[in-house]
Amino acid sequence: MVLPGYLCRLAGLPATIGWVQVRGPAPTVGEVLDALEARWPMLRGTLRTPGAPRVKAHLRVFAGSRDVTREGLQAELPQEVLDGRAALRVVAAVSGG
Amino acid sequence: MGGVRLLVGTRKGAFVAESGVGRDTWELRGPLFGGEVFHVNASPRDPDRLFAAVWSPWSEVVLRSSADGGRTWDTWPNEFAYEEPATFHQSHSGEPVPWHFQRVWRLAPAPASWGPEVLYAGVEDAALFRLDDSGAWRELLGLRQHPTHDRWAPGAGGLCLHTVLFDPTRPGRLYAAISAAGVFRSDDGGLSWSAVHRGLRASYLPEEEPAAGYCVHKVALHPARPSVLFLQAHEGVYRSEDAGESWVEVGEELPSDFGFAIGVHPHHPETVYVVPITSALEHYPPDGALRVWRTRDGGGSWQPLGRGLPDRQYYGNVLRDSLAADSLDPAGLYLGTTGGQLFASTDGGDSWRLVAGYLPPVLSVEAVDLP
Repeated sequence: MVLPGYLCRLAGLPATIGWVQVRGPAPTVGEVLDALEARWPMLRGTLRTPGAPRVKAHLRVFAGSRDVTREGLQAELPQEVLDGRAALRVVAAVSGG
Repeated sequence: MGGVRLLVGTRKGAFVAESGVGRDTWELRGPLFGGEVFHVNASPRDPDRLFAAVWSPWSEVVLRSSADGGRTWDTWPNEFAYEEPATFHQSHSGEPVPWHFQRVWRLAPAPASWGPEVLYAGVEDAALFRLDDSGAWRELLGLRQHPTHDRWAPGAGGLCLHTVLFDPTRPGRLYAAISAAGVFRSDDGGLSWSAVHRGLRASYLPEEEPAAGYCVHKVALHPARPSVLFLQAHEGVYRSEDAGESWVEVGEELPSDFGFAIGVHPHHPETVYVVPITSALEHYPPDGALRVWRTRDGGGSWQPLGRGLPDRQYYGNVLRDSLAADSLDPAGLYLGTTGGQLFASTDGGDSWRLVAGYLPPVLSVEAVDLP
């Protein structure tokens, strides 16, 4: 998956994270973020508001070429992302800057 | 060795300024982080241990900490979740709206006299959090459940808990001030709270003495006499002799009853400073002349101090957290403006010099004594 540069700098990560491990038959965006935060706890609180159904207001989420932002954390990942042929991207929206 | 470190939060990152005890030349570092930095503070046990509250539209709140005086920074617990049950405050227009976490205004470590370090955070929408032993922020729900909470409404800056004060002589006693709700006191470390704002004015509310809704801008106390409080409100400057139980207006001599910042001299508990601002609509000093006003008798009489400050055509503001003092002798006073100036005085406010003249708008200043 791919994270915006400011979060990579914050967490000391390369811009593209090769993979995060998610168990289950149909992983959702929320489960990927859970796995991401479990692996890099410094990201907790930067992507989601606790209890909220989607990412923060000025973030967008793309699964391959599909915009899943409005589908929220329950959005399931398309096969191309599960296969590693396309990335799950969290993008800093231009509305934030 | 020895000297002072200034921790400056601005609209575009944080700055750290350091000087020796003479405080005549300053080394400035920054901007750090990017984003709006509402507050940078230091541990009372270790001046090199710093905490910063950063806000950006993307992450909203990101807290940072440093163990080396701000040279390197780590990320810190960022998650602020209100406890159940949900509660409702008032919108600007009086409709009920649920509490919604927006940002951290204040990072407040309890004084060393309280025992092991405890860190509090005042946030918007107004609530108080405490960092627990596991490294997670936990809301002290008793404040948000105060019987008046459904009367709280945002001021122009939001419904913010902007002031956290500790009584160093009485572990467990702390004060929280919320705009626009009022002043609250706890004697049990923040679990339960009493409203302590009798005597304040609130002409924008219909009742004579409303139970809450006071637009308190800032409260200050002297650690050697912590039951005496000074307060700058949306309307007036006040003094309390009894830990907030009652307030008396003491600012009649000032050119305006509006202002944000208030501070007590570190060595003289009756010497208090304010920066009058023209009005709620006109956020600049009266007549365009930046003046710090000082009382040496606890509010009985006031004198304007302006040598070294802009004396005409000045239209910046001094926000509530932008007046600070170190504890050296003589004490240093520091003033940050939304025009990007950072001023210092080492003669009790009689005269001021620029530390930096072209910073982004200053949101907060803390002064830390260095060993």
